[in-house]
Amino acid sequence: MTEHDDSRDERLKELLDQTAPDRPDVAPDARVTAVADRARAVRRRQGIAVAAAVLAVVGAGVAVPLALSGGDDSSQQDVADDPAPEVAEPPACPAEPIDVTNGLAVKDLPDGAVSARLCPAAFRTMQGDVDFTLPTEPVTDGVDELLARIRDTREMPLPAECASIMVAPMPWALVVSYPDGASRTVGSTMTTCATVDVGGRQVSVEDVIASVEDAVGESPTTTPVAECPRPGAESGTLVAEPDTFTGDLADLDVTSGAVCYGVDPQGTAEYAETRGFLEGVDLGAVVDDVVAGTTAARSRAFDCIDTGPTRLLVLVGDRGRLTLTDDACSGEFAYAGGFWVPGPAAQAALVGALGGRVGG
Amino acid sequence: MSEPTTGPAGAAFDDFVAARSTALWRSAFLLTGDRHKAEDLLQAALVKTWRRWDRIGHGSSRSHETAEAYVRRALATTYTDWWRRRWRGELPTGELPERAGDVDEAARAEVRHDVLTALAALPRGQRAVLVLRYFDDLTEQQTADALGVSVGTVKSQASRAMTALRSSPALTDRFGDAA
Repeated sequence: MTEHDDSRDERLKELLDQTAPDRPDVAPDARVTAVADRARAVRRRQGIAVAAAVLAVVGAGVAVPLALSGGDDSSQQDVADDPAPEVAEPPACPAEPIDVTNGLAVKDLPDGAVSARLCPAAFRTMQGDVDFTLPTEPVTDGVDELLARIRDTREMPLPAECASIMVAPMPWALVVSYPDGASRTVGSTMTTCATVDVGGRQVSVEDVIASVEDAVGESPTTTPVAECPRPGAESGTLVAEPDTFTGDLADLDVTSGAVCYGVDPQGTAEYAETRGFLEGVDLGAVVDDVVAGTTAARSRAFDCIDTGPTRLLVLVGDRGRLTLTDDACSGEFAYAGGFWVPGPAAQAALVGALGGRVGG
Repeated sequence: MSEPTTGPAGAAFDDFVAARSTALWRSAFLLTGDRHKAEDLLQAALVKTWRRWDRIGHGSSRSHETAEAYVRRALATTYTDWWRRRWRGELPTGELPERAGDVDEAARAEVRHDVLTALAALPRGQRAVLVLRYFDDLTEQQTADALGVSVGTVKSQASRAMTALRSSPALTDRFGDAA
């Protein structure tokens, strides 16, 4: 670290220290009380759920007073001593990335799991510099359905393009947790152009990840997130999903963006990743550029062989999804609102989301 | 049973909250940019801690250190989870000076507005790394542990976050002397 860096770091520390107020509005003792009340409320909610289950089986019983108890400390102690299991919170991802150097196969994924979540992983030759961009939110609703979908994933040959391109690794692991504390983990060093062993069958890593992403996206408490469509089974080409938003882009209130890359057999461009996500300033730069730079007619002619869409920009907001398609190997995107050639900042964000250009 | 309802365990939890919660709340404020959300976030993290207090080892000599590491991890993970669910569209509140006419407080309110504006533009992961590394003064390894990511990710996220902050229009002048 240089003296210049030290100075910059110190300045940032000063700014952060000035930004954080000196003290909160709540006194420590009041906070302790609030924390205890919130924890007990969680227990009471669980107690009600347990009581409801008991009632369903044996009819009316003594569980109701237990479930509805509360108030003085002694009654809360009774609730706290309730032998019912603790609220099952999905385990966090391990502090240290899971080693998937040799891949992690799983013999089976039985029903009954309480959660499943994607976690960062590592492998010995490339550990360290890979940003993990997959969603790490746990799937807690419909876990059995997710596992069934993974178990039922068909074995399919990898797309032909996988034999001729270089794909950057992104090690990942899917951790499936069961009520008794046991877990099963499957994982790979790659998110595309690779298979993983599930129950003795080699299934596409993309299918496994897509299943988890779908399950995360279906969570009722999760904000919609832009995702890339799954490549066509045979050709691997990108096929945009229908727009669900047809108004002015400026009204979409974009909250999430994804950039998708379909391998161009002509090699006009190659990127390290086949999909990436736009967030924060990068997403803002792209959306602003689209809004400001859209034209009614194409501004670029193309003289290369059109091999189908090579890039998709998927934008998602509270009001729906809109996809822009770089469909003519010219670098110009088309969408319902017109045509758009990315400016320098937007182009840098798109390329960055795909991990940078590696050829073409 | 691990909750510190009464007795020495309860007293130890109270002591921990009394000793450390102001610092933890300030971190939560930098993550959320809002006093009330910071309190909500901190309490949620403390609830998780409270329910595991016995396992955290309140009786050991390093209990506060262990508990604080646990709370910081809970803060970071809860923040990244809630951010998706509830806190979209966060905008800096541009709080007024706490005492009208106080020049220092007015200047501090301006800094607060500018820094929160810049922080709001960061991806949540970068923001969390920034707060843990530069405000909480955690090492890269401690930050990686708190966020459940690799040290390499912490380094790259911190670098990107710093670059974004320095190029943020809101902070251009604030970094001027150090640039």
